Amino acid sequence: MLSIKNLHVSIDNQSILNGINLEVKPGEVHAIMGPNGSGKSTLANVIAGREEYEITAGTMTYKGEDLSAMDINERALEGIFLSFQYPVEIPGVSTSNFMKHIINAGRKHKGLEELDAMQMLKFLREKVKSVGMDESMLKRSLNEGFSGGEKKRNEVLQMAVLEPSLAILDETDSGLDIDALKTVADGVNQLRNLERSFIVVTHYQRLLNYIVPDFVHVLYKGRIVKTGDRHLAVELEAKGYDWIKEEADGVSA
Amino acid sequence: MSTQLIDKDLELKQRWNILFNSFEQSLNGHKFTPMHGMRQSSMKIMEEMSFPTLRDEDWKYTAVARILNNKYVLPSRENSLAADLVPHFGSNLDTYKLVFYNGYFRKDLSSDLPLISGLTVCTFDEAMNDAISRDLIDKHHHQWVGRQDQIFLHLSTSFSKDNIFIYVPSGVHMEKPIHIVHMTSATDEALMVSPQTLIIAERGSSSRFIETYETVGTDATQPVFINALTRIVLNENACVDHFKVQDINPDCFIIHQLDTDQKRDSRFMAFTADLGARIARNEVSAHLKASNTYTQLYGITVGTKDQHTDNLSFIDHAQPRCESREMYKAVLADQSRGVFTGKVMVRPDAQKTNAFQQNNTLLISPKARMDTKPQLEIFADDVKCSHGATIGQLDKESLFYLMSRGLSHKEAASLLQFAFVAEVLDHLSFPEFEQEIAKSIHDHFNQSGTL
Ligand SMILES: Nc1ncnc2c1ncn2[C@@H]1O[C@H](COP(=O)(O)OP(=O)(O)OP(=O)(O)O)[C@@H](O)[C@H]1O
Ligand SMILES: [Mg+2]
Repeated sequence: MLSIKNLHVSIDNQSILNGINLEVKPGEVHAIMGPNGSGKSTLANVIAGREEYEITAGTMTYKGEDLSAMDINERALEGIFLSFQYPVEIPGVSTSNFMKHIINAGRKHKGLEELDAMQMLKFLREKVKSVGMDESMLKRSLNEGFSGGEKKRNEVLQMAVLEPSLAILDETDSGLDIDALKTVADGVNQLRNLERSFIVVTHYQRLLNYIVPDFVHVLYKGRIVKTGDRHLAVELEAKGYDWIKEEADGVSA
Repeated sequence: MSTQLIDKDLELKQRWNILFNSFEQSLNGHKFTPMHGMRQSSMKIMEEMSFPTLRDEDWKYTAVARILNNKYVLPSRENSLAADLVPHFGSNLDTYKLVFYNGYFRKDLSSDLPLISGLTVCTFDEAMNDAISRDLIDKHHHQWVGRQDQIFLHLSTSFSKDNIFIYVPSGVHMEKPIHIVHMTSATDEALMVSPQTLIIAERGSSSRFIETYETVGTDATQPVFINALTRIVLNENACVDHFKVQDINPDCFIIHQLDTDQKRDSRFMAFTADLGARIARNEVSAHLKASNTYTQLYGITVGTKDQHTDNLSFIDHAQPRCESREMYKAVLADQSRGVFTGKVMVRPDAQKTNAFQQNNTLLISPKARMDTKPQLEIFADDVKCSHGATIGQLDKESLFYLMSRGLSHKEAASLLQFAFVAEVLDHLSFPEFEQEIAKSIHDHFNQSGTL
C-alpha cells in the first residue's frame, strides 16, 4: 500500500524528518506515537502532499506509484485521506456544499454519475447520523465555530463518505470525550477490512483499546526509533518517553 | 495642461461636435423639444470642460484615453430579429422586462406593464405628452444635469436618445421587479450608446429594479462604449433596491453613473456586479438630504485578463440620523486591475450618523492589482464611522484542506473565491437574483487563466 524509504524532509532549510522507513501493507493499522514536535504531523502532511515541505532525500510509493509525482487532489482521489490535527475553518463555504463538491469529485473520478440534490441530501443525512452529529451543522460554514469535538467528528464524517484506501488520522482522538472517541473508533472500525490501511497518530493509548493496531512506531527527532506491537503503546502510556529518548540519544551520540 | 494634451482635447471636442451635428440632422422634427434643448446645453457645458487625466484625484488610477481614442458613431435604430436578442442574464427571473437594443427601446421585446394606477413607464419623448411627467423630468433630470460637473455625464446627455422615465406612485408596493435590459452588439464601427434612466419613487412606495448590460453577438470587431446614467429620487419613506449587472465583452467600455437623492425615512440599496468590460467605471452618489435615511451600497467585481474596474462611491450625509453601509469585494485574476474610492462626507448637521465602509480584495495572480482609497471627511462629532480595506490572497491552508479531499486546484480556488464574494450577496434579500448572479460569477471564474 504505502512504502516509505529513507525519507528526509525539511522546511525552511530546517531538517524535520531524518530518514523515515515505513511499510504499510493492505489491511494493516499502524500507530505512530512520539513526543511533541517529533515530526508526526509532518509525516502525515507529506504523505497527503502538502507543498511547503521539501523532500530532500528518499522515496514514497503508494500502490506502486511514485507519490511525489501526484498532485494533492490526485492522491485524495486515489484513496489517501488525512484527518487533520487542526481542521481548517473555511467561512462562507457551507459544510453541505463542501460535502457535495467532494462527493461528486470522487464520483466523477470513479466514472460514476453525480448525485442529484435529493440523493445527496439523503446520503449526507445518513452519514451525519452515523458519526453522531446534528444535521444542522450541514448548514454551517465548514468548521467555523465548531468545537474541537465537532471538528474531529467532521473529519470522521469526511472519511466515512470518501471511503479511503489509506486513512491517516492525525490526533483525531485528542481532546475528545469518551462518546466522541468511540465515534472516531467506530468510524475506523466500520471501514476496516483486508484492503484498507490506517496510520493512526496519537499520544494516547486509550484510542488503541478501540482501534487495535498491528504495529506501534515511536517517532523521535524525525526518525522511527522503536517499533513494536500494541503492548508498546501500553508501556509508553505507563513509562512516558524518557527511556526512549535516552536510548535513541545514546545510540546517536 | 501641456499643449499636446490641449490639442488632444480640442481634437476630441471637434469630433464630438461633428458627431453631434449629424445626430441633430437625424432628429428632424424632434429638434425643438425640451429633450433636445437639454442635449444642446450639455454639449455647450462640455465645451468648457476637459476630459479627466490621471492627475485628477478621482481618476488617478483610470486612464480614459483608451476609451476616447476610438472614432465612435451612433447606432441606428434597426429592427434586429427578436430571436437574436435574447438576454443572457435573468431570463428566468420573474420580472417586467424593458428591453433596449443599442440604446433604442424595443417595445416588441418588452413585457406588458402591470396595471397599477398611476405607474408610469415610458420614454422621455412619450412623457412630454403628460404635464406631470414632463415637469418631473424637467426638475429631476434636465435641471439636475445642468448643475453637474462630470464631463462624461454631459457627453452621455448630449447623445442620449430613448431615455426611460419610471414613476412609482405613492404607497405602491411593486411585487415584481422591473428589469431594464441593455443589449448592445458591436459592429465594424465603434459604437457609443448613452442610455439614461430616471426613476421617481413616491412617498411610501417600494420597488426593485434590475439593470443589466450585456453584449450580444460575438464577432465584434470594434468596441462599444456605454456611457449611462441612472438617477433615482426617493421621496419620504420610499424604498428602492437597484441591482446592476455588467457583463459586456472584454473589449468594450462602460461608464455608469448612479445618482440618488434620498428624502426622509427612505431606504436605498444598490448592488453592482462587474464581470465584463475592458474598462468599467461606476460612480455612485447618494445624497442624504433629510434625516433617518438608510443607504446600502454593495459591489462585486470579478476581474480577469486585462479588465479594469473602477468603483467610486460618494455618500453625502447632510442630515442627522442617517445610516450608510458599503461593502465592495473584488476577485482579481490575470493582469486585471481594480480601483475603489469610497468618499463619505459627514456634514456639520449630520449628527448621529452611522457610516460603515468595507472594501476587500482577493488578488489571485501576482500581476493583478488593486488600488483602494477610503476618503472620509467628518465635520460632525457625534457619529459612528468606520472603514476597512484588505487586500489578500487565497489562503494556502484552506486550499490544501480542500484539495486533500479531492478537489482540483481550480475547484478549490473557485469555492474559496465564491465564499469570499458571497458575503456581499447575503445582504441582497433577493434569493432568485442571487442564484442567477452566482451562476454568472462562476462562469467568470472559469474564464480566467489563473482563477
Ligand atoms: N510550517 C512549519 N514551519 C516551521 N517549522 C515547522 C513547520 N511545521 C512544523 N515545524 C516544526 O517541525 C517540527 C515537527 O513538527 P510536527 O508538527 O510534525 O510535530 P508533531 O510530532 O506532530 O507534534 P505534536 O505532537 O505537537 O502534534 C517541530 O519542531 C515544528 O516546530
Ligand atoms: Mg502533530
